[in-house]
Amino acid sequence: MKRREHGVNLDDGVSLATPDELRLLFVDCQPKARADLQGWFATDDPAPILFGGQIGSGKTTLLNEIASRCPDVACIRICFDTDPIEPTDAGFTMLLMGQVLQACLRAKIDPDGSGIVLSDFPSIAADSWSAFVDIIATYPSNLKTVRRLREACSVIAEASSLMRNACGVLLDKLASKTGRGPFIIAEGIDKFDPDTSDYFSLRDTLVFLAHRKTLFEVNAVHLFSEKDFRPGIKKLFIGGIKQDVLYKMFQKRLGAYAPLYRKAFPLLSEYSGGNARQALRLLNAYYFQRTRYRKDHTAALALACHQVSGDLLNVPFGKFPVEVFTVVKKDGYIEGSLFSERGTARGANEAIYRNWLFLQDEPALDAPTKWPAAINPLIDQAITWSTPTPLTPEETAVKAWAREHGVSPAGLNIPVNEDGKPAWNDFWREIDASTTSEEDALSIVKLLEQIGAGLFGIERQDRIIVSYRERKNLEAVRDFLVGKANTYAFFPCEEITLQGGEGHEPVTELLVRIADRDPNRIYSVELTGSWTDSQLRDMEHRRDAFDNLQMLWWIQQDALKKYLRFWPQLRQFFRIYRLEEELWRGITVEEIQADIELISDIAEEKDPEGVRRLRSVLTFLQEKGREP
Amino acid sequence: MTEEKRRYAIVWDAIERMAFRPVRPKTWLSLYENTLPRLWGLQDGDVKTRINSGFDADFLNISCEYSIEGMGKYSGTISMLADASRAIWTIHVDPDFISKSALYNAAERYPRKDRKRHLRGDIQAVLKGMLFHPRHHSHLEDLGVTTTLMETINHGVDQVRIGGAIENAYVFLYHLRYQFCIVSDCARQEEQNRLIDLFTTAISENSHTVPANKLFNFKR
Repeated sequence: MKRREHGVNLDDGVSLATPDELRLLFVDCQPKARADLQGWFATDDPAPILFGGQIGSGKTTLLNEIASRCPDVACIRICFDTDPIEPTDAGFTMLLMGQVLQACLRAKIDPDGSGIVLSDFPSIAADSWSAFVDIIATYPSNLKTVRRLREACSVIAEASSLMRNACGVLLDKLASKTGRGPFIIAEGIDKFDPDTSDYFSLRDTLVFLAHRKTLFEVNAVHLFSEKDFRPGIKKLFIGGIKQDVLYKMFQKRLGAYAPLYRKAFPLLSEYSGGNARQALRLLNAYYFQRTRYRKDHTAALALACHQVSGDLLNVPFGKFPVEVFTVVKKDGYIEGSLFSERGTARGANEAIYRNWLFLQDEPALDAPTKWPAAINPLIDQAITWSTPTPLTPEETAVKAWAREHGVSPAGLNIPVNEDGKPAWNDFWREIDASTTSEEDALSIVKLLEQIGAGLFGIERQDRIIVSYRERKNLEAVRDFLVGKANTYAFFPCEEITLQGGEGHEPVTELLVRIADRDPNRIYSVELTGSWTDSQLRDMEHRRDAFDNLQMLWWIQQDALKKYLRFWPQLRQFFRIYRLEEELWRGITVEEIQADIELISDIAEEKDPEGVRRLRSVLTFLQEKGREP
Repeated sequence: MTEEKRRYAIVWDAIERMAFRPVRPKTWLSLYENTLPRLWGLQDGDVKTRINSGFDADFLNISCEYSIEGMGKYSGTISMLADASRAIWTIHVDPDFISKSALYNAAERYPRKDRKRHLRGDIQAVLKGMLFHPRHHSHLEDLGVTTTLMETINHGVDQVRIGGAIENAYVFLYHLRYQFCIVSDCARQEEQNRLIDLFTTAISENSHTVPANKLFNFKR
């Protein structure tokens, strides 16, 4: 993403990737893990490694930073989340094959004799290895090629084990030619919930890779399932980030303006629970409340917590692990065995996978089974504990402000029972019943304020979900937002409607439509129809395909409630807003006319997109004005 | 008048004519307001503006109001954000009365023979006096304005100069935009270089206007 050389660089916690981003914003949050990873890259020891941390802990950024320092290392990066043509055993195997073949061709190794034969894949119709690799190693930009690849997948499905063996032969050839075994980075395993069928489909490929020098990017929960990879596999865990390091991160993100917001650093870092993305999202939300609405420090903190927990956490999942929560609160650690014992495994894994609990560090040597852990502070804040942790005056003020203004500082309200203990079941029912409260619904003017920094910005792209009760005139809303954006810079808009349900391929269609990845384009995506579980899961895995794109997703609110259960990863990159019924409040015909005039004056082309969009809004408003 | 001063006068007049006499004032002012955050290293929409009549620079705790009747007739006021009722600096420009600078019009072409050797330097000198360091000025610091940014920026509010005796409303606004860019010395220097390049090209090419989108670096 393009960043400001001077000043403020906020976002919703996307990973840093480009040399400029890393130079400007990277903070060494995990020096020990970084040194261990660098050591792993530096040695010829072929042992694989599981590199794990919770969602938003900074794994991908750290990997990108280390990879940027080792440009000469022969590295095969395979993105199992974003790049497979389908989330099946054959899809993952084909992805592996494509990347291995590509590395071989780069090293001028002839793949003939490996066991893969071009004529096995008539649908690809390639007359050379390089043409074959061109087609299978990058995500296609049209549906015709997708179908050809799917046909190829059906060939692989018959013999995926043989195909993986052929990859092994090619990797051996590569090692003997270069004199050093290739490094494989298996990215995006962390996006797979271990309880899903997609993860099950991936397992044979993981086991194959675990016999090579492979780094697996996994979620913390995968660290407790080494059997999915290789017994005794080395593990590297990254836990909570220390307070002073988070301060450095805030400082970098705010640039020269940091002193204006320094007062908030202690509580923002505390409420982040040491999680990088949660910290950045809190900072973003706090900054927004201070600058746009001039809320005072206390109010801005309470509202920031409310927004962030609503976006990241406010959705029920599987079995709520009451006992695990109670024990973690009391003891400050979680027994590693809880992740594999029958009665507790599902709840404990889900709580970690969805960041309701944070694992803070690896167990100490004298207590090797006890993982230091804490309840996510945004949830902990909402609980009235019978023996409360003493609060600072500032924390007390934030809680008091939230109470007085009918806002839970956590965006969640956890009731207490007669004994003064959290009534977990009531709480669970409460969040199951609603996603956001009526008070959180916005008019278009308010929505525009909330999303303006990304929508109008060249240096920032955000992903926004707009939910609505009734569809009515969503076209006019979209045209208004796109038209307004065009008064700040020229932003074309790509309109995409994705029909879910049996017989449709909405995720594939989306990936094809965004293949050009234009950072200046607004991708307006409407989700319609009844999406199947597998389509929703597939969308969840593709999260990283959407980073650095400006996206507006439109989803009916009841449908969204269902979808969010499938999207603990995807929602990390989105902010969620709901349109109120009286959504056109505050918009005048005169304002639209002035914007049309402005865009017409500065546009170099005839009939620019911004003008067309706003003209249709004008017509809509005029017709609306004539309604009785 | 020396040859050098005559060239400065020509350049000054050319810059004002090309960039600061907008045919469509509303468009000029809208772009002015929309692009303030970009120069100041803030996010789009971070600066509170009042349609074509003012903006707030929160990081300096000040608010600016302006009212433009014509290029040479305007008023401007700077107040503290905490107490908008009390102005700390104000200007009224009334073209019904004469001033020394208004008596001379240098609407000539820049001498072709001097382009290679002097044009860039002349533009630099003129922009310095017009926008970057106005001859008549008050230091924001002397007006009682302070900022907590002192520890992160190389220069303080003593480097923010509010120009007096600026007769062109649009020059006045543009100079505020530059002066309030305190995010870094680098950002100021980049803006200086951009404007010098922009006007060097425009005068070399005998352009009649510098479009507002180019003046404000409105990105495509």
